[in-house]
Amino acid sequence: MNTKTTNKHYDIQGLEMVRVIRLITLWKILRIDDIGGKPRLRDLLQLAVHHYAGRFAAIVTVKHEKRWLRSLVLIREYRARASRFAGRVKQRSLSLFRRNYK
Amino acid sequence: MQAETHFELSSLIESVNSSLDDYDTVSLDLFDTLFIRRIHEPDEIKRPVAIFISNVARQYGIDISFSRTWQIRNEIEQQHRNRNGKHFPDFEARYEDFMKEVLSDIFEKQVPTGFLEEVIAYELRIETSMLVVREEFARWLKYLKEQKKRVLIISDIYHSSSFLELLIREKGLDPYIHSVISSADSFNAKASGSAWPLVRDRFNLDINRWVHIGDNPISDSAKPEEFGIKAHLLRDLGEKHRKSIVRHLHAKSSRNELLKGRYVQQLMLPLEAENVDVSPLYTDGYNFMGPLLGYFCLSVLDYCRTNKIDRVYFCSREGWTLLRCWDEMMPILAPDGNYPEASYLYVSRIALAKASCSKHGLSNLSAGVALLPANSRDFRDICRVFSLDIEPILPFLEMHDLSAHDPIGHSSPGVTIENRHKFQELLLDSGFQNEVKRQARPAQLKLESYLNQEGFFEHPDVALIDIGWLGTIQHYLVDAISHRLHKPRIHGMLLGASKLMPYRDNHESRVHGVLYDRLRFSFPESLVTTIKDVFEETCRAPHPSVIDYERKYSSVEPIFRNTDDEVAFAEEEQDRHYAPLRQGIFDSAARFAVAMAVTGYRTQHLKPWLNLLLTARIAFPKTAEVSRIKHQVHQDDFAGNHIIPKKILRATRNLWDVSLRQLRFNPFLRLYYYLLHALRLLRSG
Repeated sequence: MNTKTTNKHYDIQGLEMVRVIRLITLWKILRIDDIGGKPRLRDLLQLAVHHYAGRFAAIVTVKHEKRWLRSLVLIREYRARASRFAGRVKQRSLSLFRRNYK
Repeated sequence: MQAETHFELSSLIESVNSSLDDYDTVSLDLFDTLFIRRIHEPDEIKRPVAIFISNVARQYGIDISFSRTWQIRNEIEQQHRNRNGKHFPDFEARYEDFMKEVLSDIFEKQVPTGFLEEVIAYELRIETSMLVVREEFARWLKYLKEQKKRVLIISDIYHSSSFLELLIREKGLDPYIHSVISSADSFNAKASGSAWPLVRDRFNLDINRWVHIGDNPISDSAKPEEFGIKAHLLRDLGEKHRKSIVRHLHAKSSRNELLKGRYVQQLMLPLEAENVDVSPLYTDGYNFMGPLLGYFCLSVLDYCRTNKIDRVYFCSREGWTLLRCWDEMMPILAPDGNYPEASYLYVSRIALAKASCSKHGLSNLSAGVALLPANSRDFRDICRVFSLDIEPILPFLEMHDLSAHDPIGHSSPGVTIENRHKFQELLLDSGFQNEVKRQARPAQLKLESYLNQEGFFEHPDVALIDIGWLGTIQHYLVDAISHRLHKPRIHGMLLGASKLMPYRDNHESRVHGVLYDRLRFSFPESLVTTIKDVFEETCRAPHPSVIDYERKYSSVEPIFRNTDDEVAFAEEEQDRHYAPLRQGIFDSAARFAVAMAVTGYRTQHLKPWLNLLLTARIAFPKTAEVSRIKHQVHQDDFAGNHIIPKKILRATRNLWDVSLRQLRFNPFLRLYYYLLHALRLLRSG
């Protein structure tokens, strides 16, 4: 049966991320040789997520751009407010400290 | 008006088609719309061009790194943009102008003649290789032509329209495009909106009957809408997905050596119309064998540059495939022409064996190699391999109490110590050796003439490229020319070097294993030896094996093996089977070279990924992979006709020899053979 050289997840046909991760895991368990390059499972898992869930991420980032940009702005505002509040608390506690321990 | 946004190319085309009668003119953005880039960042193209310029500068005695060249280019480009920004609404630059200044700056106003054109041509080549036409757009352009619509390409880029036209012509789209407009020509871009009135006036367009398609929300959507042109914005989700993978790989590969090779393979992958349904064997050639052979050619180039070797000979039938890959890769990897001249040498072990005996006779080592295959065992096999006439030799055998049928091989079944001693005595017999030399002399003369004809003796150092494994061709070749005073130093470069025979390794003749060398003792690399026959079969030239040479007037030509026997038919059948795999290898060679040029990686960066590739595909293959790649017929020119004992077969059995049923249903089989291979490797030392 004919196939495509690049699969629909933009993965390499015949050396898909699943196969790579499985092999690296086996290597990590067996430890009978060293392929070099210090393979890190975390990087490979992240890459696999990009390949297999990247489409959904693209939908979120592109299709619902306005929505998540708005949430980002809101988060930033909350963080700014929170830091202002923390600053005020810090200021207040410092002044209390100075007043009581002078 | 609000520009329509589309997240799929098909929906965009459908939407424009539904109101196509309202438009006479369709304008398209070029980059990331009609063409997509394999890379995530267009600036990556600048790296190979900077390397090219700095390499040529070095030839002219100017020591400049590629990063400094790149920096100069960016600085001068920015200066041009700032200068043009004072007179025009957009901060645009023109490639030809700033590149001229870059070269003038680097070469201190003494730019080699025609070098600017060479740089432009090289950038065009790399750019073309990195660009892919959107398949659906290409089909749609044909439809628009049929509908008699005017198609314009409008791009904001530093390349002039003539450069873009060349790009479009390279991709075969020029019959469907009316004109190409670049911001580099007028310094008025789409981004500021100043390009739109210019285009309207130049082509006398009605803006109400004009539709524009692009990917930039400002240049291709907001600005044309402002001007009154209907715009369609393409925000392709698939493309965003693909680019995010490439971007992620690029970022991670800077810290993770393993991902460097993956990044290269990701850039090589066929996209859009290139990615059609193909035979799985093509995919094996493209994704498995291609990168391995590409790595091999790149390593040969590095070795030749380091050792100042200016002549490379690809030999034996496997060398033919390697030479094709080399020819595809070199113009991209070394645009300055700093790579050795390469040619194909029609040689084989059988064709060289006889000639190798002309000076020293039959050596113990050479005889040992002839008896190495498990189905070779007696003196007749030696005569077959060395093409010796047995009749004049029989008296010498009788003199040493040997018959032509006595097993004499080191590990031949039935061999006795007595027979081995007798054979050693025979090799010490000067009468016997004189007879061998007498028979070998004509073959040696013909071989020497052939090598002379191929310019073999004209260089102080030559590289001899072969797939592997013992390096017997090189050994025989060195023996055959050992009488000469003027002969080149031979640097053997093998894909895999098993180095099982103690061949000479001195300043006159060295053997290096590129992908696998037994002396390096690397476990993943050693897996190559599991499928030696597969490598040989897949890389085999379309011509039969060379068995001898003949003089034809003033030249010497190779004589090929018969093509009308059973073995030849079987080989032909297998060649047909492997044809898609070979095509995959050839197609991948140029893409591998471009990916390596763009990333700027060296061979050592690929090693971890290739180790993984070898382990995944050889030690842990899928059953379907074994069933399609495994060779059906393998013709070993040294092999005899004796039956191989089961004991030897068992001892050398590996994963690729077991039945497909076992492979499919035994879950621990791969692991068992993987560990067995490790054990065998440790035992062999």
